[in-house]
Amino acid sequence: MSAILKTERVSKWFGEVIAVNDCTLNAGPGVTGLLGLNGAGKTTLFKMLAGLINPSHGEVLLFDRKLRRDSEVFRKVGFCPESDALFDWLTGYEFLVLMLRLMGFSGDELEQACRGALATVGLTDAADKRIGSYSKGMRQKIKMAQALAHNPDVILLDEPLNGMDPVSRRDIVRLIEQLGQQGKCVIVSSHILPEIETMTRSIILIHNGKLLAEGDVTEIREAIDDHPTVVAISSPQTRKLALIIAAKELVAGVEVDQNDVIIRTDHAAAFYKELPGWLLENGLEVTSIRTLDDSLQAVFEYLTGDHYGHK
Amino acid sequence: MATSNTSGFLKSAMWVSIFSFKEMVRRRRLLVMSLVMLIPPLMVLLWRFFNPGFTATALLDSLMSIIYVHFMVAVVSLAFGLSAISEIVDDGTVVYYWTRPMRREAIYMGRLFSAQIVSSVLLVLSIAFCFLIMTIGNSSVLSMEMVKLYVSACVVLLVGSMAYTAIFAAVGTVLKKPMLPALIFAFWWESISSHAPMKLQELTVACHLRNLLVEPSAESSKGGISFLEGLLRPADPPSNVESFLVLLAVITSTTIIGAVLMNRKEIFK
Repeated sequence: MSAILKTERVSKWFGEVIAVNDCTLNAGPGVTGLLGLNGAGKTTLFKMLAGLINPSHGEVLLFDRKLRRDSEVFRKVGFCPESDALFDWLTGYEFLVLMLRLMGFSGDELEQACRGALATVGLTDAADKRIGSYSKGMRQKIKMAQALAHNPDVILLDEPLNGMDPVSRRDIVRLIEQLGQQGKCVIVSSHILPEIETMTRSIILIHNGKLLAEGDVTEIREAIDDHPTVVAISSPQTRKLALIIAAKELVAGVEVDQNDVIIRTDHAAAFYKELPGWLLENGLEVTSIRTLDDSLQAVFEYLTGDHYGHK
Repeated sequence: MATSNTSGFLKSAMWVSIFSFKEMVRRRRLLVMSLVMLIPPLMVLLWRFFNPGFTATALLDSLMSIIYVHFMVAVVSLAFGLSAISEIVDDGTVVYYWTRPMRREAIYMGRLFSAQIVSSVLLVLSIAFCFLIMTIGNSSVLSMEMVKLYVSACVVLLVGSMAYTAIFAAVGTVLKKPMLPALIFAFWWESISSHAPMKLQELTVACHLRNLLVEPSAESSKGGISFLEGLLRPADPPSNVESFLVLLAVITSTTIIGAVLMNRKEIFK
């Protein structure tokens, strides 16, 4: 993966408090979720990525250019802040015109970009209404529109689904997925894990100011040795299946739960490789196989739990 | 390359300024300040009605020395200068400027310039009202000396609002809670100058503003208020050119300091 946005050993401290500690990460094309508990340093890291605060140590690089020394690089960046602050006395259209003018747009190009962004977020009908009269969801959308209007390569979205109704939420999630598929580097910060899970499997997990994990959720899950992977196999022959599986060295534990056999394994990859052979050899019928704890929630809990455990 | 950078900087500052101007004139602060600026015209109106026995020139001179230089310029500049940057930082809208491809100094200059324009216009309109009330239907008060005083008053108000607004904008950029220090500066430090030795007076903006005012002749400045005004006028002042240069240096240096501070500012909201 070619890195578009990089941090090199970035740290930020406020007095004696270290908010972000020696954080090196790379983000390339596609959607990446930035996750962390409250106070983990997620917001501080995000603000450094957006150039709002300067690292105490290290550098944030966008296309290998230093963000804090080169404001021109913002032509390629779209930032949607978490804060609800907007120019309430402007209409949605006027707000986008201002934002695009400050981006250097003018004439037809400006008009086109403005109308396009309003259509993208579904605010065309509300374009001439004052932002002050917008609902919370519409305010989120206009913030998204200003972040996308100039067609940036890097899009930073800080809690973009806050306050949105389910339909708008679905539309914005789709939009974010599309942006990722178009090859944009989209970084989404959220503390709601299912939200992130609907958009991407690629995450950056920050905890107590440190980068705890970075990459695909499944790969991260496999790398967690302290917690066996939990696999549920549905079968009409649960008892037979449980007996056969329990005898295998790769399996750490087996339970039967109604029509499911719940298996714990410390070697998930090897287990999945061997499983079809075991089923065929023994003529076992299986209706579904699913991993129960490679969800983002499980990975998050294991990682942050481990972290606390090692204290 | 340098030319394109400069033109890009100026263009950015211009758009920020145009937008900020529209924003500032929508604030309730403008209405409050407009009402405050009506105080001197009301005083002139009272003078027209009651005619207490001093000349229009003396009245204009006293208004400038006592009311405008010591109070009005500082108040209106404080209202718009202090909030020029701190307001957008406090309400969080600064991120929309911050994440645009423009130098942060351009944001500062744009905001400062609109604050200076708004405060200057208010002050000049206020003194213009005073002048009109004095002279409409009372052409006998119109003299070359009066016109000179009026023109010099306008210049003093413009330079004064530029200087004070630049100072307060820099204070608002660097301090999280700038109001108290700004009030202390405006109404304590600047006013003690009237009672301090000349060398200390020269460290205040008000001293140089008073010094730029055309001094009316003893004959035309006869009246009760001119006695008080005489107390406020420096006894051994620097030359007009020196005062003008000092004020220019104040405007330039505080603008540069503010812009540098802006460049280093971090946005936590």
